[in-house]
Amino acid sequence: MTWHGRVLRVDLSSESWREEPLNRDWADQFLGQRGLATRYLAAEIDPGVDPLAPQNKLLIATGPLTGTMASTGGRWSVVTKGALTGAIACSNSGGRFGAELRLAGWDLIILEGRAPRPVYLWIRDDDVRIRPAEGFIWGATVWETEERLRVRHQEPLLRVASVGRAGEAGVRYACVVNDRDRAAGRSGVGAVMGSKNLKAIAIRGTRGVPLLHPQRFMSAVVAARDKLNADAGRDRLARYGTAAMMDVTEAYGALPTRNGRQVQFEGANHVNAKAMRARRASDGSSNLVRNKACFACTIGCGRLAHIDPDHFSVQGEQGRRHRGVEGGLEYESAYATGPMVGVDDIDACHYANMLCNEHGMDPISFGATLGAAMELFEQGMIKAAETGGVELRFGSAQALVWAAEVTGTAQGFGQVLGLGAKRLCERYGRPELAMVVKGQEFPGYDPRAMQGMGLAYATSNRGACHLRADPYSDDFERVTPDGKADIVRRSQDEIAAIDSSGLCAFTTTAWGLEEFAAQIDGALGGGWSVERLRETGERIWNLERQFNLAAGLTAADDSLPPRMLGEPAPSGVAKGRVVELGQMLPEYYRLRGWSEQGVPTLETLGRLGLSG
Amino acid sequence: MQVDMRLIALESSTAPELNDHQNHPLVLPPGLSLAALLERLDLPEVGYGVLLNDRSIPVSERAVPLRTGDRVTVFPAIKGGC
Repeated sequence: MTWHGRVLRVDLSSESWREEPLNRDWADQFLGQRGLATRYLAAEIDPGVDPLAPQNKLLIATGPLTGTMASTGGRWSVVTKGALTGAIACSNSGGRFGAELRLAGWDLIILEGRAPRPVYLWIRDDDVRIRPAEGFIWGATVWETEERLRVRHQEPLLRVASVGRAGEAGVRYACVVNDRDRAAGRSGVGAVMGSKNLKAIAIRGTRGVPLLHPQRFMSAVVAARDKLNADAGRDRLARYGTAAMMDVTEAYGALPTRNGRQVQFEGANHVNAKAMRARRASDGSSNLVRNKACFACTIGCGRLAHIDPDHFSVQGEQGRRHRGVEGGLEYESAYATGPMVGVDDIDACHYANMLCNEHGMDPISFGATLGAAMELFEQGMIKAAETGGVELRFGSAQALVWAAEVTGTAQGFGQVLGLGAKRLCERYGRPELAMVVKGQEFPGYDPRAMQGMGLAYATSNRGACHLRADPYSDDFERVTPDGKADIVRRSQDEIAAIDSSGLCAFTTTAWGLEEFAAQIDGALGGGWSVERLRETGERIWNLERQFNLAAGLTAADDSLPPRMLGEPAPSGVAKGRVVELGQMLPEYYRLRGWSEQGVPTLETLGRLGLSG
Repeated sequence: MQVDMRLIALESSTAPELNDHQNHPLVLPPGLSLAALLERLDLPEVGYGVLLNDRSIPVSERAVPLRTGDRVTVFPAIKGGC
């Protein structure tokens, strides 16, 4: 139970759909969301396919606890072959869209083919329609799309996931945005959706989510919520948001600055959590307005913020639409639009982040790509003639604001920035300046100071990622590489299971796998235990690895940019250190039960039930 | 003995002057250990990262006595997110 047992399969090429039963055996083996959708994808597409070809598929996946009262039970994922990476892509989002899908009676949507014209998918419980988007929402921003759909369908509670102009134009790091400012952000899942001529999915659900053992489930939910509510880490997330990390990485010397040339940013105080709360002279207000929580969340880490009305970015008619209260800076967006490009103007960072939400692109990849472009510009590789005279210099708030607009709307040099850092740097003959793994740009942690994070980036199945492993506590205590391989491997497996549950990884500030297992088992039955979750996570990780190997990736892709391996950190606790990947990676492969070439052995696959 | 003290994203019930998360001088008894200082601050969370003069100090080494002029930064066992 908890599953409706219903999959919605949409053939965009013929603009038709059908219902089919959920594969319960796969749900038993892979839990849901990330794991289950990856199993479907691996079974249904050739991993070697061009990510932007109609043969690629896009899966909208929920977990068994999505749409339930479990704290943070609103998570959902987009699974596909990534447009940015050519690797498996699983991008996880919150907000209310995922819960609405469950409430409408569906567990999973499989989108295949390519519509002959721009369309959107409209779902109201069993009523499913594929409708034309041209002349209505095609070409519109994410915000306009959500509003127009609610008005046309007269559904104020309609929940929408859509691509902006970036996804329509094939920006390689376009994302799928829902509820205005939550996003399945990474790996270019929005570019895949745009390539299918699918502008939006709009859902209204009026059913419930079935539970196998309602009383047991609620007991587990209440116990877990009480533990979370009393946790100091939860309080910190609500109070400071994720941006509290900025002061930590700055103090530690793990804050990627100016495309990784430095690891500490002298302007961090101007773009941190405190700066977001500081009163400004113009209107006596602060950047931060209040918190925002996703469906069923009892943390509320999200930020709602507004730009200083005197700031240059919001002047004139064009700027007027950005004077309202919108999703504010998280740590990652603040890092990418701040230190990574050397900008210490919080309003410019917020403006660029708003454009990322509005046009639907990943602010991490955008900022890191712009950082690479700035380094290329300062080295004379990119000329001002190519940028229409804009000086792409580190620290330029004007360049940041300009770049966000032209990239999100794919105008002029924005089309080059929309390629992502890897393709951009290759184009200018300097591939080593791209701070990427498997083509995906770095989040806000310099791995020279965080060796475990270095290994996590290198081995992440979706490319450089801070959410695929949990080496934080140990990395912020020890700068040496010993012991990191096991920490990374274990946490990768645990997170793969959590990402398949329908719950948010932020709950791990208070919860162990025990709390996840109790809630999942109450809802679903079937004997979900801590050990079974660990094994499921390991199965998912190896399935993703198999997909990537079949897609043509090799052990050579488990690496880091030369800067991380050869240029010592210039300051901070890791001053003089590089990432000791050569020491950690062989141990990691061994602990995984993989060959020296990073290939899962037959024994490992057999143990996990993946050899068939 | 005086050290230069900074808390990040933490609030002390016994030294509220540190709760603005800026650097502050803190007068301490001579020879006080780093671990004893953490206990005195009565911080709300279980685990912490600690920098002593830009060096990360693991839990196992926090019996180290502090000296005048030391710079101490304490931050929560924080994880990354969106």
